Amino acid sequence: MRGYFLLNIFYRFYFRIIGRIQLCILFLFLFLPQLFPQELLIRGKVIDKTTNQILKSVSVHDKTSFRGTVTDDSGSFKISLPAGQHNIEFSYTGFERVDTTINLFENIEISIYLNPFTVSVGEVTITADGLKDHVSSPLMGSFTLTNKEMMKLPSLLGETDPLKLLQLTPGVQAGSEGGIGFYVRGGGTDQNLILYDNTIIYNPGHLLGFFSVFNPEIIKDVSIIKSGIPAQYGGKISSVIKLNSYKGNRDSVEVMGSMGIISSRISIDGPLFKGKGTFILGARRTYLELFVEPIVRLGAKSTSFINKQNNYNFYDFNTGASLKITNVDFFSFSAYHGRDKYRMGQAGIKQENSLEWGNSMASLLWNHKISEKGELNTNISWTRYEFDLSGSQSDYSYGLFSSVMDYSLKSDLSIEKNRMKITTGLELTNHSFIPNRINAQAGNLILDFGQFSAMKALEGAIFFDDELPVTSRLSIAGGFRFSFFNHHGPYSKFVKNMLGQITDTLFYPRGKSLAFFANPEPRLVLKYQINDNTSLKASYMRIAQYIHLATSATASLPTDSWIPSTSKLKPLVGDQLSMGYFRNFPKKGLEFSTEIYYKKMNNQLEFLRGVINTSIVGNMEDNLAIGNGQSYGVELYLRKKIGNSTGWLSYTLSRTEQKFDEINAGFVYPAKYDRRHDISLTLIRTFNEKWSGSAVFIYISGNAFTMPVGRYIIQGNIVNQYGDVNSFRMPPYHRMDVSMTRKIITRKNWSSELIFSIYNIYNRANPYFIYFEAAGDLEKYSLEIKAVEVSLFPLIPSVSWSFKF
Amino acid sequence: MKERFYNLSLFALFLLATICCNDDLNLNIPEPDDTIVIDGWIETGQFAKVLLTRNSPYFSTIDSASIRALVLTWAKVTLTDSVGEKSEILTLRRNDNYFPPYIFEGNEIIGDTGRIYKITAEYGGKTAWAYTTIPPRVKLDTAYFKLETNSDSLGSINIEFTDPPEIKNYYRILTKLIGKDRRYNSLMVMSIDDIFFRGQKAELSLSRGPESFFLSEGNKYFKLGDSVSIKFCTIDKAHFDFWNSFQDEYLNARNPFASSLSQIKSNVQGDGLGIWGGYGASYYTLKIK
Repeated sequence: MRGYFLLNIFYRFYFRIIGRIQLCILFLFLFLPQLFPQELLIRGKVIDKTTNQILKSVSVHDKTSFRGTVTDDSGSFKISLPAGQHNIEFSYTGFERVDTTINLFENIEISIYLNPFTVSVGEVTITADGLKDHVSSPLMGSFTLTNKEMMKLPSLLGETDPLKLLQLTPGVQAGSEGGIGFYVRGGGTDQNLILYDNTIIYNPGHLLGFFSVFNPEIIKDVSIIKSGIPAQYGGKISSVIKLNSYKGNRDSVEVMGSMGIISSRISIDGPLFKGKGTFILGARRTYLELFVEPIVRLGAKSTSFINKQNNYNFYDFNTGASLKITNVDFFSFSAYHGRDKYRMGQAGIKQENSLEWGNSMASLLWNHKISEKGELNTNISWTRYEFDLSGSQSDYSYGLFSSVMDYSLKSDLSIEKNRMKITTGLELTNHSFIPNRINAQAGNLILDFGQFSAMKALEGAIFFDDELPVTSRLSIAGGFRFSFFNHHGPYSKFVKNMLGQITDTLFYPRGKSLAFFANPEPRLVLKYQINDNTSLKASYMRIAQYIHLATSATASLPTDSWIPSTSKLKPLVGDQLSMGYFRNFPKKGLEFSTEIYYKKMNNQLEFLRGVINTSIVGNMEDNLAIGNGQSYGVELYLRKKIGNSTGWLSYTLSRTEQKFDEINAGFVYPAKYDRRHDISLTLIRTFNEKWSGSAVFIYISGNAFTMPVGRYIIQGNIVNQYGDVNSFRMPPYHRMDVSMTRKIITRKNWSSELIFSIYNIYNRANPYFIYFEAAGDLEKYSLEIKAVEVSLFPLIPSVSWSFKF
Repeated sequence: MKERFYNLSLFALFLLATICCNDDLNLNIPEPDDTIVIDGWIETGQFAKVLLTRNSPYFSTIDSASIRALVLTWAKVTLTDSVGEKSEILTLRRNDNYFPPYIFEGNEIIGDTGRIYKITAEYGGKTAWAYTTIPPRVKLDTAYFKLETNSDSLGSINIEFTDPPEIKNYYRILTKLIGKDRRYNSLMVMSIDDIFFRGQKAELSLSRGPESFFLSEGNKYFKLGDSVSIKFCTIDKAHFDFWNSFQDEYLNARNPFASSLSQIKSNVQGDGLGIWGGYGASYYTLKIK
């Protein structure tokens, strides 16, 4: 009752205040339809015939007028067409195409059911399913992978990882061996907006970043947008990665699970309230401590980083539910909690270390149909990332804690008016950061690291997206986002004298602004449809990023902490121009595209020394360099979506450069993740009803790194003299993984699969890092220096068994 | 037919990938510019000392002949006191306590608190110079030996001192086992910023510093019967930055998770590298019984 009351208040509030603001913006554009002839609207839902699950990202294409759209997160679509007869095609990867003829003389609502493909031996069906979207959608630089595709691809230690699979697509480059951190078109790992059910996940890594926090069983699909990002997304300048979770099915209770070498997972899902809703519960736990250590030991040529008394594990819990309350109100809920726990000790020197980190999130989405032509989506969410490190050795002890926590509200209104599709709304996020809270004690002396107060900030934006067909061939998708960021109190700011000593503390009370930034962010995509199978697209976007990742490493580590923009740390601003040619070959079931891009990143940060140095009060600015970066390149992409053999080939040729006054004497230098060539080939093949297989090959130019060019002697020690920053290249990275899947039992309500996977099949020792080892004794006049290459993962076979009933 | 094509292409791919697998570390490193390396210091009440060498290419072999070639015995080293008031040319002496065993030493100018000293080294048309100051000394309140738990002979030395609150201080602590070590060796923590104990009484635990950080293994304890000389010094900011970045380099050079973006922060200008540092040094002897 109380919930309903609150809902009611919110509902009214929305339409009185926010609705008015949005309608004002809408008004400006609403006169435009008068220029076009009267159009009619087809609304509908696309549903999987076998499971009754809604299908998102289904291509809806009118062959008569070349117009098209895709279904949204709730499986719905809307398309405006002139009155008359239309031949509309619905297509989606892995499903049979549906062609319907519709005589349109009034607004109508339809439901479309798609049948999944059943592949039998000897029969190769080639149809143009799922290809249209690529050419006709107003998105550029985007890529979507469904759960089915993910599960078929090879994986490290049997752990399918949605984020790692994105690294196989053009323009996306892996950060480090096996790591989930990635660089999109020259942007840092912190420049990717990772949304799990519309909620940001700050550090999506388990096991020092070797696995992502996303349980593959729960993930329905994952997609990435690299250019022409719609205005409803912002806050990270390089990409948007959306992961949508599976919320369960409406028919019967079903259990899915998997047992692998390093972890097991299980999930249960089914209907709620007599089919009005669905639910899912899932869990994953590793038993890594038993297996990984010997493997890593084997792989690392040097064992100096690996300690004897290690204990490591991680776990995840996921839950989700969906509920249709009325015909116009649909709710979906999602929550996640995961932790990594690592303990390391060395009895000999009385050392104890423990490290614990993890994400937690919850989100609630309310989808409300306002009218035939409009709907309102409101999402409230909470997310938190925490990191806690503590250690002691004899009399010394220390602790390091960092966290970031957000409360967010995002609400958007979509309206289809004639041939235009407008989405407008607002987003508000209340951030609370504790970048690093350090304590340390040496005997009786408690070291004073100053006072660490949490940093509070409010980030917000209003946005407006509009898809507008100008002629039957040319369409514009334009958008505008106005974002702001307010770093506010309560906060204690230290005033220092010339010696760097704190002489005074300024206290900013609750709500008082310490720094305020606002940025207009225009977005634009132009699409010119040459014919049914060919289009040209061009886009421009500007995005401001108000939070920064303080990182001391190339790997994405849990110690990396997030810090807000302050009066000294300006927001990062990214501009990107890109152009592309998109072509489908329907007879061959192929889609091809090539894109060129130029991206500029202003106010990039580099932390010159480690996180601990950075976080000591008064030292942050000393250890921080602010500079600019740019990246440009060309991407080629060829994907085969139909038939017994599917897969894709992607190639990226790019260059990424940075310029910082404090680094490399102010000269331009290659970014550490500047990789000239990046090739990946992914093949999935169904051999027969029982067997299917897949293979992945990756080749990436070596990482740029700084090398010593000379050495000298200081007080009996050999010291390195470094060459230009990042002027050397590691040997190239390449490997091939294969996997075979065998379906074992297929009864009516029971199926299971054995998945055999081999990571790095030709056992390439890929360079993880290079270090230099001195051997001998300088004072005995004999010393030899060798470059030592450390590689991580050798050939790793794995097997896992998954089941469903 | 199609089947065969796929199998063939997979095989070809596999083959291609295998050929790519070549483990040779082919690092083409350009030779660095010839640079004068100053490793010098001046402390309260003592003459200046300077070890002068050249840098060498990274992968060159080191033997007695090549090290001999690195020592700049023919250089002219000039010490100037407080902006040109007094100056002297240092003389080269052999001293086996240092490495390399040739050291330029002063004969006239004695280090004094609060003064600025400039060193200039000239060699083969190249000149390098640096400035340093000697900050006021800080005295230790106490120093005592503390046995490690579970040990009846090994332990560390605890020292206590009070950080002067009115000025910013940086410290550097070295120890020498009398009769065993040839010179003072730095702690593993090569320099200390008073930011952690501003104006407070500070207590630190010292373990034995290794002779060379790049070849050392683990912690070294002091033991019963040792006679230890403690050299407790105050240093200026540039001197601190050098040792602090030296320590970073020592800790991070082998660590994949740390980036080494910066060179060691030298205070030497011109065609030079290294450190010219002033020490406000006080000495203490502790006999461990």
